[in-house]
Amino acid sequence: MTIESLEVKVKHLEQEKAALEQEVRALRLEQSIAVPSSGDTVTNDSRGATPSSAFTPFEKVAALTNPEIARYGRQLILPGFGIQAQMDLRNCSMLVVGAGGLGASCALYLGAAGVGRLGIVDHDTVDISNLHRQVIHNEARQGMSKARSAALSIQLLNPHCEVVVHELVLESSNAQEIVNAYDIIIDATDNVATRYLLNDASVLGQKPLVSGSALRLDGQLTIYNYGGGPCYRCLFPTPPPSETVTNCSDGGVLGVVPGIIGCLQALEAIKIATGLNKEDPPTMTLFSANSSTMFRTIKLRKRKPDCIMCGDAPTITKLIDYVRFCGSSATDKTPDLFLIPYNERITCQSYKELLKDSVPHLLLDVREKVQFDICSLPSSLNIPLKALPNELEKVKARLDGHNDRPVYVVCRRGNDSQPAVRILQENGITTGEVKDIVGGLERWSNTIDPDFPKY
Amino acid sequence: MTQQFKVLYFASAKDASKTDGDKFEWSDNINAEALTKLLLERHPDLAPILKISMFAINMEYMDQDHSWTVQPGDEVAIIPPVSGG
Repeated sequence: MTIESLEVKVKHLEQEKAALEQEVRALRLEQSIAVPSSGDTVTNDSRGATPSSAFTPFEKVAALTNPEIARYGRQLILPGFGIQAQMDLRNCSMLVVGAGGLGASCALYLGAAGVGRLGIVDHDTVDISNLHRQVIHNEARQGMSKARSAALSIQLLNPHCEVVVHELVLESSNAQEIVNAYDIIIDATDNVATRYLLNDASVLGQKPLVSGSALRLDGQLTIYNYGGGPCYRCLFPTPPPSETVTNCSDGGVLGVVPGIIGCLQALEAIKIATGLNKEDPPTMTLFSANSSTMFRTIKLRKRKPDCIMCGDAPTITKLIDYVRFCGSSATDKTPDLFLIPYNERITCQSYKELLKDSVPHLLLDVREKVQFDICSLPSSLNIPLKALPNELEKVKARLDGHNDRPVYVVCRRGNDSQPAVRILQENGITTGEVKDIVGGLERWSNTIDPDFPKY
Repeated sequence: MTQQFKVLYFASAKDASKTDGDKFEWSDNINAEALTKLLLERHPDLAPILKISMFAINMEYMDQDHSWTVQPGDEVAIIPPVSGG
């Protein structure tokens, strides 16, 4: 062996050693914060040696340390930013509500940029289907609390940032105290109820609210309750009816879209902390990923004097019941529908037996075509629920004169299949039974065929 | 040629109208109410969405009151809230 090749080998081993050491450090850190107690601070910076919480007074400093100066050098030499803005960031506390698609990029960039204290709120755990967009988590952290996973990633990126973990569902009973403990609030949530809750808590606590949202290929960004601008209720006084609201799980989302909006939220939060946008009028930025004009900026007005929240004579003076007000839950999980009594439906097991016995029937799959294209049961007919009322002829054609055959309806989770059954029954599509499969294809995969894909 | 104005649809308004924008013939006195009527004639599925949407004209927020009318060549934007994340 030549000296050169040995030297190359040594270099590779050294790199491998460094990587392994970092992994050990990550695991140590992970274990050190494995105790799930909300409000705990995660930091391995010397100043955070004693565990504190969001309610421990946030210690401001008069100067940056040398390691901090080395780390933030590219921002320190940035004209118009410099040491003053870096100090402003260091002495600022921010709350990121939601460690999902928006929170992932937002919290990472805020932690990296040098925010002094960063609170992370999330009640959920890491799931494999999150990882295409929630890049703050990773494969090994499946099942781990998202708030803790996010805190860990920020710590690995920048140990100078003091991260406070709030492992909880933000609700009327706890939101005000948490919001009041921070300087800037970032709405990176995924549901309507929490958006109104955060808006109201921010108005009551007089905090600027950097709000972002993303779905499919679209995103929105606005700073509410800042510089005389409007609050969320000024623009959207009426919560959307729950049937018009789509979540990422049902509507889909291109991973990079919330990533972009989350980055913009981090930018806006930094601008607020450092006073860079003090003179800017209020705006809403619209992002459309597949439009030739990807970004549009809408000029907003000042706050509305008659707004029930931030107006001259507000009628809301404390937090209300937001789940009730919005008629939708404070998570983005799709609730089970109970339209049809259980005994008028069939289980996956019964359908499997029916298949085994070769009982003649028609299986109607009412998912959207994009979902049907991923996976489907053999010989099922695909007509999406929305199209069903106008495409009953297709069902009749498939029955081909056998008007006494049973029709079974399936969808992803056993929700859309229920109204579909009603539509088929109301139109007398068959004299045989019309039933839907409880739990849909997700349960089929869980209980009957583990090889059937879940998405 | 008759005078026109343009309408842009965002997020769920885009899904309901199945387009990201279209053109309408302009006439006098198209206020928020008249605009809503025009939009629903062409896209009935917009009904639940218009109720919760923000309107903007030429990239400027407009209250849903009678203080404005659409002018020829205007670009109206229908912006429903997006809540996902």
